[in-house]
Amino acid sequence: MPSIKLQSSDEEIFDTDIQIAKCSGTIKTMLEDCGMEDDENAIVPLPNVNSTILRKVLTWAHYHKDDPQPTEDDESKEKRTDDIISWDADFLKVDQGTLFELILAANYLDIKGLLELTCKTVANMIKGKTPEEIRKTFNIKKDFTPAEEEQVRKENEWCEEK
Amino acid sequence: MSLMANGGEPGESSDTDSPAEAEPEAEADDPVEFRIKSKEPAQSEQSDQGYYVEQYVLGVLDYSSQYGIDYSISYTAANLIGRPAKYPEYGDYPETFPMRTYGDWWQRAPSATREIQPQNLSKLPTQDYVVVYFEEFVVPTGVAIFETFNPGAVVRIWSYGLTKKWTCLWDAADGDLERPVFDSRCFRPPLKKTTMVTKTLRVDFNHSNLNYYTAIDAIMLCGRTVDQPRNLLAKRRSQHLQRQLLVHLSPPPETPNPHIDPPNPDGSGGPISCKLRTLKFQPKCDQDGATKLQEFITNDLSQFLKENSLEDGGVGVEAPPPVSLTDLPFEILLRILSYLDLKSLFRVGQVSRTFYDISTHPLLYAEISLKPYWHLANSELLCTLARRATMLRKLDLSWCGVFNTVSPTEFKKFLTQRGDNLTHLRLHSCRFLNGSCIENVGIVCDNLIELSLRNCPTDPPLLNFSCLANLKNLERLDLCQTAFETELLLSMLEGNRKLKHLNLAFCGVSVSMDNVADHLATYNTQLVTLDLWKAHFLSARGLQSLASLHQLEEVDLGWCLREASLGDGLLQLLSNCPKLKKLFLSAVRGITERDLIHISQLGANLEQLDLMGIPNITHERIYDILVRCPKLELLDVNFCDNLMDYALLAKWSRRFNVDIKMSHRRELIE
Repeated sequence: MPSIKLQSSDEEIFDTDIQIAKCSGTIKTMLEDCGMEDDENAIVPLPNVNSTILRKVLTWAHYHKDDPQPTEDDESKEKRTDDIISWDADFLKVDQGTLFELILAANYLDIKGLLELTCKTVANMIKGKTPEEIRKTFNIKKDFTPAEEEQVRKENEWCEEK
Repeated sequence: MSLMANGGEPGESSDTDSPAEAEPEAEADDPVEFRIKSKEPAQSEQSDQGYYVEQYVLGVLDYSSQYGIDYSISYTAANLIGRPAKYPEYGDYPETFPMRTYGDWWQRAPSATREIQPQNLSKLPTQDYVVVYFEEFVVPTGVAIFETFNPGAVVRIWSYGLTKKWTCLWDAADGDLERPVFDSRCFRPPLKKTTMVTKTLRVDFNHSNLNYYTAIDAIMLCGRTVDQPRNLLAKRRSQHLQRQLLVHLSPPPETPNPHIDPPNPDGSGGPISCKLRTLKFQPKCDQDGATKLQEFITNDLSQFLKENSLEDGGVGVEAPPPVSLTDLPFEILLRILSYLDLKSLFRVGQVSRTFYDISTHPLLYAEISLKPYWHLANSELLCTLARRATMLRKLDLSWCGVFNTVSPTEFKKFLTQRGDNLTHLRLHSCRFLNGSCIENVGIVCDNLIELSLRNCPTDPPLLNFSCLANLKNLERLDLCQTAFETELLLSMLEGNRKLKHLNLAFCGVSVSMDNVADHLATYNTQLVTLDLWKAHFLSARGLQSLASLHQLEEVDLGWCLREASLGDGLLQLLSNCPKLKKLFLSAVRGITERDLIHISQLGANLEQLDLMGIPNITHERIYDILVRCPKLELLDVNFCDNLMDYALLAKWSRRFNVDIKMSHRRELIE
């Protein structure tokens, strides 16, 4: 099976099956544009992804290598966040820092499935929480002026708990 | 205790419910008896609690769908009124209230629509509902729903209180709908404890797990009466005030304690804080905290690090600060927020300035559906949304505005601001709609591709407004259960040549359906689906016209075509419309042996076929159809009196892998 070498920001080399690497739109384009596909010794530098995250990304890509390509008309399914399979849920039992780094990596590497999964996971962490709970969860500071806060509270009156 | 006791609250009902929706019958009842009943408790302090009462439905205020047609008594929501007519019998009875759909067959048909803003839907979304009222105000302790056919569709029970708010008394959990039961039942789910006072209930249904139509015979509301709802309300208010005062007087709560929060199932918070939480580590509590920290460091730290596969020194103070949510780029945050339901989206906007800015981004409001928030939607919310939704394309306000929470004026203002780019507009059962609202739709929303106006208020009939004829780009028009004038419809058909989906089910007596069919044949040759369920005035002549709609994939002619013979109409339809996937011919009595042969010969693409109630169908014809329509998935032959060999039908059902709906009789289904 043909493989290529991916290099993380901390200069670790990952020997990777080419089909798995190509789930990343970014890598796929690089390989095709630079004619690196047939070169066994070519190294693809990925300066925006460190080895910890790249290892995780490749684990995910390996598990999902046989997934069907998402179809365009699945628009409504895409918005559901209760369809995360248990392997993915376990895979994402990580600290927030890692989760956000995975999002950034998925975005940079252009891996649609992983980006969707990680963003849905964060959305699920927000869903159903009160503003104060969200602040606590993500360690965010409230920075409204009293007037602003009052205005937002008014706009949100309809969804306040009784 | 009389279940249908006389009484009511002559003085009260108009205060508590909107005058327009108020229950006229309730007022007409015998006031003398009411006074006798209410006098005593009003004077004595102890009987403040009132007495226990069980009462049946006095009237139906609203419903989203029913199997029968309004001017008939069979299979309509009005059958909910009073005591059970059939319970505990089980079966398909006209004296009950079934709704229009079951299972997922309608979602699988070519006319299926996609939900607008689907992220708002709960796991068991409401598909249909009915709103009923009772005679006496009670503090509800129980609700009993008498289900006499395919029970198991009730997913929520709401009550409308004196405070003009809806409260959910019961919400089905995932497992509640699992097993279909073929027996009648009196369903009494455990209600949430409440002190609210009500005489109006809404029952929500989800039919997706059902094998066939469900039917409700009666609904009973039990609880303690309150004799002076107004006094009670005043008392509550003062209690509330007292409580508020108390809150102000009591010392401020101590620093937020992480233990108050429910454990985060999604693992929010980093692994350290999770771990600390499980160790009951509280940094704020002085000496004890230090001990606990010491314990944690000596006993659990190494284990903890191993479990979380953090490298040595990873938790050290020197480590670079981890990426946090606010470090993510704007477009990713936007993407995350795009998965939120509207409520969560609003709440996240209350977190901080950054999140307010992102959460109000117009891209997040390209689709809005307030249908799942029908109980919360009001004029103020519409006003807020109008400011945010500058890129609005699809809007669903179905079911909103019960008891005048949305004003027609605010709706019109909204449309004037945001209507011109709208492509999809759904306004099913919108009680606030009036003639001038509809007029506005016609004037402002000229880019509409879909207009759905199911079950619009019919008194006075709304759709006599020529303005709707301004719309020229419609591909879907849904006027199911809405009264309209033939002339308007004809001019709309003429103006919208690209029309693909038309629903005129239950369109009432005033519409000449043959003329409509002629018009369709002339102007709307792109039509893909047509629903004429119970549009009684379609004749064989109209059917002939429909046969020139070559693109048809779905046609529902249930309860139409009342003549003894259809002539060549069905043959022509079948031979000219080879793409037909769904053909409903429920109770079309003129269907002959010859017609059935044509179905088997020409229906190669049929997936759903409904022959319910057609007499004289033989087993032979059914077998032919099963053999020659390989794509068939659903075949309804209920009430086909000649088909008595249920064992044989069941065998065919397995052999051809077709869901054959046969007798409703319990012993035969099992």
